[in-house]
Amino acid sequence: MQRRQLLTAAAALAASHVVPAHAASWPRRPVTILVPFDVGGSADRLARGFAQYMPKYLGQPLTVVDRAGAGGLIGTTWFLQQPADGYTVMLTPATPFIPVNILVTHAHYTLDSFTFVNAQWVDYTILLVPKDRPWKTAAELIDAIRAAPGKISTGVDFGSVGHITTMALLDALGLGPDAVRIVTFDGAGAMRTALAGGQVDFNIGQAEGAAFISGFVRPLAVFLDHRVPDYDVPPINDVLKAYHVSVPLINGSVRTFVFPAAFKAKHPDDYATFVAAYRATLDDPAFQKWLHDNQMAGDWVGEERTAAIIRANYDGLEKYKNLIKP
Amino acid sequence: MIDVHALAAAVHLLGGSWQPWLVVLPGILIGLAVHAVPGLTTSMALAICLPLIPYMDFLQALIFMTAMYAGALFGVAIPAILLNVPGSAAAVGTTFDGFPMAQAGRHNEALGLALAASCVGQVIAYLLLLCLAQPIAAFAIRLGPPEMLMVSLWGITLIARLRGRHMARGLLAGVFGLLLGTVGLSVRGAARGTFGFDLLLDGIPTVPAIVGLFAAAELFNLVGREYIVDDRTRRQVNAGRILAGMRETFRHPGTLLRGALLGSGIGILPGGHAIANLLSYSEARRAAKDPERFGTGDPRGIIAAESANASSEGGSMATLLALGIPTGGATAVMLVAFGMHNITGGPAFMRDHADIVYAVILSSLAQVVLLAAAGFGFIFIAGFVVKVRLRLLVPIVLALAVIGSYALAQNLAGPITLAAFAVIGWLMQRFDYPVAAAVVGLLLGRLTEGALLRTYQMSGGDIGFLLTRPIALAILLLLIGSIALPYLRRGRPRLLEKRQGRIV
Repeated sequence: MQRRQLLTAAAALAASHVVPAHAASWPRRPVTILVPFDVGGSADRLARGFAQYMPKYLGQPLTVVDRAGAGGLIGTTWFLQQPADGYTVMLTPATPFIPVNILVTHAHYTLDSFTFVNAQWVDYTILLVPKDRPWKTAAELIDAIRAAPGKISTGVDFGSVGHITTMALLDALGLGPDAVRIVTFDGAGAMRTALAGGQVDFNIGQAEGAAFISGFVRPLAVFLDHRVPDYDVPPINDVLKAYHVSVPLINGSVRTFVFPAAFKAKHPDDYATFVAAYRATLDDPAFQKWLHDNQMAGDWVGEERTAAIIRANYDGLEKYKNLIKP
Repeated sequence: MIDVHALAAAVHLLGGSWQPWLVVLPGILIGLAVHAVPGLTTSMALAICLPLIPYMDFLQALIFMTAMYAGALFGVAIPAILLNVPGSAAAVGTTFDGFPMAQAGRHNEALGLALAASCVGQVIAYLLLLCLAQPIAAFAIRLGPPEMLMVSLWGITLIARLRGRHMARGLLAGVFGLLLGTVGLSVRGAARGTFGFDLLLDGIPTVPAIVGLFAAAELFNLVGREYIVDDRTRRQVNAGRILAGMRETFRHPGTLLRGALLGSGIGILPGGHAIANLLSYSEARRAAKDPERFGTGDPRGIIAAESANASSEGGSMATLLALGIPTGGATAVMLVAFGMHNITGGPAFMRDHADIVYAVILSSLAQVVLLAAAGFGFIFIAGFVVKVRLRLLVPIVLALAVIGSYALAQNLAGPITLAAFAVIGWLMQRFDYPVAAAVVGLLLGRLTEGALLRTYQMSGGDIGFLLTRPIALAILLLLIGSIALPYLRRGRPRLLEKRQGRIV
């Protein structure tokens, strides 16, 4: 008799665990934010902001895990090996790194493996020289490179948008890849430190990511089709008009939350729960102030436009991938 | 060079209330304890504690983090000495003489030596920083790949010195290590030696490999024995002997000072702190009249490695504090914590927040004193490891090492690497190949290759480029000099003898 009661109780307990999935059922435990780069990078810093402000809206704590290596490939591969139940979400500069993983490093995934939630922070590219270098304008630098090919050096973070843009610029000017000394660094951080110390003569890289070395460098041009308030320098293609050429403007780092495509397909309600909590966090004035203080952006552009941005960047990178072949 | 006003403000900031100091002891203990598990790193521990930072006021957060840092700088030495397990690359040099000392029953002294050397190294580094933060930092960012290349070449010469009994086997082991160091994606994007495994794209995980080579192989060798220390009477934890070890440190002022200064110098290079302990060990050995005693449990080996290890982090702090530029993982996390309190890095950092910079340095100095006390208590407890039977200790340490390697790599690559290298390490020992030479090669292979490649890229292949880098040139001359000097010294009497017709 007692045994039967126990059995019934156990069955009831078991049954309670198979409630059908609906919005309120997710998340029932803490969510992990995977950052496929090192502690202290832009994606990591942003993730820690979400870990601080988002639990209020998601109803569960968020923990940040950094899993760096091979330009995001190691962490992204691991991310796709996790169950697509939404308990692991990735926060990453999706382009250029995912396309470069696919196009150059032969990753085993494609763009279709992912759902990109929202390109909330799109960085742009800028041309910088150390302050002690003589060139005051981009044209002066270009002329110096033409006058003495193979003498001026540039620092690049291998496979970054800056790297590809550098090669595209040389290509457009009719200069070969040997016209400048290309110095390859392990990551943008090491490259920026070297630039600040005057180890290299110039760099084309991410503008907002380089804010912390702004005291050591002089900007010469932005890789946008318009001027920006932060830097009083012309758009690169205005400079290049004198040379009757232009360069493609590839978007800088597009930082976004990413899910495996299967999560949205299998659990559309849970995905919607996440997006609602995410949008509520973005709308939180305290979080916006935090973003502003940390020189980050938190814009809402939506999934469709994000997918379009990433697809366009992918196509651009594919066109130029041969320029950065090892 | 000291801004007196800011210094006074810093003293006021620190002395204003006793409450911020409540976090010092927990900080130091977390730092010490984290390194009891090989594979956990300072930057990992700092990152784990980051969520606490917004709940502390800024000063408290700062003191907490620097306390953790201070504890961690010494913490790595404990498993290195007691178990031959270097928790990070920074403690490899400590194992060379630390573990032989422990095996000989002089674990108390060895731990005392390491603690005192670490404290002195930290004090010297922070005093230098206090007086010269700004110039050091300005100098630091002028150092680039060519200088790094020279320093790592210097480190590679250590391989020849760790050769063991057979020159050829030593060099072979070193070259094997260097080759292992090149596995993975090169900085130019070429994948080498990965055999198609994605996990190897990031290179061989260094710490699990070192733990495998050193510890696991050594522990296999211990299987037949009862305890780490053979002599039953010496198998004890003795506060007096720890103190004696601490005192002994000061009997080698030359080694201590050389280690601290070398460490401070090399530490300002990005990535330099991983090799400072090796270089210092190498130089101490070269300078000694009886170099053959190194590696058999010589106190000077521990002093050299630990003082350099402790002081090398000062350089990393210099660029963080004076420029707002982090050059290592731990300082990068600290910058994030600064950000949480709306203090952003940059060259204006030192100018606008000189009081905070001085407060960090002063509190670090004060923490060294507390570290000496807390560290003493900690090693008193940790020392009881020698009383544990090896048949219990070996499996426990191996299990912890495997867990640690998993934590570090965050996938099975860690444990698999550890297991594979344990076998390699055991085979190397069995056939008399020096494991330490392979480890030095592994540590320096990637660093040297990157520096060489970038130097070549910067120079455009023009050897005359070196003439524009006086510091690199100076290090190169020092290196040549220090290699040639012993031969010159030895060569002179030999020449005389030759002249007298007595060739030895």
